[in-house]
Amino acid sequence: MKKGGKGRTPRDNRGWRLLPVMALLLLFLAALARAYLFPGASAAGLAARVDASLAAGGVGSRVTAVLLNFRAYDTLLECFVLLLGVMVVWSLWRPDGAKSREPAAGAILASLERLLVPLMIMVGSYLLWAGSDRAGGAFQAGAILGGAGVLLLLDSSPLLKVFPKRGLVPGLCLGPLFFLSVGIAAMAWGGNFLEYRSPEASLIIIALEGAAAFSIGLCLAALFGGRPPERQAEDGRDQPSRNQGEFR
Amino acid sequence: MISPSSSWLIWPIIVPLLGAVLCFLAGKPPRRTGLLFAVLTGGASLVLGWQVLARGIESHALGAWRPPLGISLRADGAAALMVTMTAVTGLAVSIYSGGYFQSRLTGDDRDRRRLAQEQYFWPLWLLLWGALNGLFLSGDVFNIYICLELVALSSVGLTALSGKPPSLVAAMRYLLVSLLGSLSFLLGVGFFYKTCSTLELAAIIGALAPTPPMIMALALVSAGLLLKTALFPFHFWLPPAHANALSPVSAILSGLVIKGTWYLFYRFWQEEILLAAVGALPAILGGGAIIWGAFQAFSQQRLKMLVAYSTVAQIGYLFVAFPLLADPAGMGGPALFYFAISHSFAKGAMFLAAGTFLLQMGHDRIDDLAGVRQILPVSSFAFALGGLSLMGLPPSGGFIAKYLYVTTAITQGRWWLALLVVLGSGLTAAYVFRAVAAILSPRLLEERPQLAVAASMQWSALALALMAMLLGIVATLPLALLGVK
Repeated sequence: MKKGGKGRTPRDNRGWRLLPVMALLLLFLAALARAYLFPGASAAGLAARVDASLAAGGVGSRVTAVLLNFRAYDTLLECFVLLLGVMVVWSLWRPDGAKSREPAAGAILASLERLLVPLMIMVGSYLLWAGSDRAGGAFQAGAILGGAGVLLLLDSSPLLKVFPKRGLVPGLCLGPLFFLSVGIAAMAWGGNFLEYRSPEASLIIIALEGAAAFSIGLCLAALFGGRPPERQAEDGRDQPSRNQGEFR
Repeated sequence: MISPSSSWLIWPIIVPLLGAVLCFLAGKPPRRTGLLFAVLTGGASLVLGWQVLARGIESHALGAWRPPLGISLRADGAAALMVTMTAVTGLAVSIYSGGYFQSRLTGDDRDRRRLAQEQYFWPLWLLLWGALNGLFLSGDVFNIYICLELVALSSVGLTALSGKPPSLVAAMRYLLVSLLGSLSFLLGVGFFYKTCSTLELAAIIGALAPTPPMIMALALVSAGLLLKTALFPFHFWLPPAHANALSPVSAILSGLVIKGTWYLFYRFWQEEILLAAVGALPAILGGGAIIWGAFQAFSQQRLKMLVAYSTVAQIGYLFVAFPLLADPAGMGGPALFYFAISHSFAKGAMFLAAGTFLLQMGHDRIDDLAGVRQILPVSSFAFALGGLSLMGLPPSGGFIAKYLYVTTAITQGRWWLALLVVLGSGLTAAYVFRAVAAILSPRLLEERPQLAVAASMQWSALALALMAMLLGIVATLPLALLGVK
């Protein structure tokens, strides 16, 4: 309905209609600025507390300590957000509606892949390791790994066959599942959910980050791929497309 | 009384999350795994409710880091009541879904599509359930933001599952609205942290003050939550999303999801400082919702659209009573929560029953539903019972809630509110009767079609409707749980 209405209005009217919206937005921005610049509004934050607990947290980097120990529960749920994203995208995929991506097998792309992908895996692993005492960590490493996956997906590279199709879903679930089991194991050991302290915390954090980075990378690549693995795709391929408006 | 650290809080969150991953890992539609984990989640939630009732407030410092450094889960009476409500509605919906997806299989080539829908339904629904429990139990505003994201994304996924063009359009709109709401909430959280140096919900609520940054933070958080709860005039996205989704999903969205953001709004707005200043605002919007929603519901042609617009109206009741929270006798909170759980059960039952009609008849045009009671007597009865609770007739949970509304309003001298509630009940009766008259019409079908739905679909809806009735008879238990503070 709205679209039809917009189509009928003359184009030069549109600017005038935007004016009140712009005015409201400006007002909102002014209120935001007033609240932000209000004297006494900037408090100390929690940095001092983080530093005080850093030794017990098991890693030297503040960010990693917050993400993987102090607020590890947030990170656990974030891993589920990514997994959920893949589920939703796959659930939307229609075997009949989607055109298969044309593999543009250019020689430049193919050689670029051979050059870059091993390098990206190395950089990703380094970032993962570096996360323990400086900037880096699971999400950064996962992003680089995901980038490598996207590069390979661009021309359906033969290198993809190295990764078994059957391993895709378990790979996606590895990070969240491992995170959950660490949390439950901590409770079985008599602690709280996700409770771990130095010295064993360092090892647990590295393991958690490794599993999380692997799954994050796969999730990002799977989001780009946009379709569930072949097994399900084959099931749906011979399905006719006439049932789209069906609800029974 | 706060027990030092209770592990009961964590299970209603991680059991469904675990179940979701296992369902996703399963190759074929994971009906058994899904049902098993639904029962486990429901059981864990009910145990938590019982624990809080017996032992008082429970809390759990995650990773044994206490706030403000860490995140802690906290279950007081209100949170435990919401988790219990989710368990009851969730169990009924899960059992219904088992029969629903089985009944939709017809043995032809369309089954592949339906099996794929079921394959994603179970993990998405379990994730949503876990995220809702996480939302109710979380004591940390940033953590609440992540739970909100999980709830929103899984709800959008579930809405789009049906694959029909209207549901895809509705899901897209729902996604955009939900994202806008989340971003607004997050911006507010940023201001809270900047001002209070903590993300702990209780500490932030304790520090509410009329300074510009706090007002801004509260306004942003509230706007985000209202948008997601679909309070009038932010309701525009709700009816198409709730009505066009698969029927179990409709029940989940209307019965549970909107309660999550409403509950958060309540957490922030129950403070006296706020109620005294702007308590009339939610009440005015709520009043608008009651009238506009009822009017729209009355003029719908499709049963599921009618029930969806009725949700718009009933959300109004959840907000109209906010001024009553300042009640010295403390009956405002119980009134609101009683309404919330009654609505969850009644509306869940009505959507489940409406879904059964839709599946049996192949349509849900109200005027052509006459005679459906012949084939589906149990579902028809469930729909009528749900309608009774919605109207607020005794003996139902809806009656107790509205009774509390009216008596509290009168003792406070808020006559306009009492009048509005009574007027709203009349309007509710109008649209409920319109639907019930068609469903229970004495007209007989010319030829009796074969029963096409599983028995579990009929009985689960009836069980939920009976729960709404039971709330009117056994009012002490929920009120005692709510009294744990």
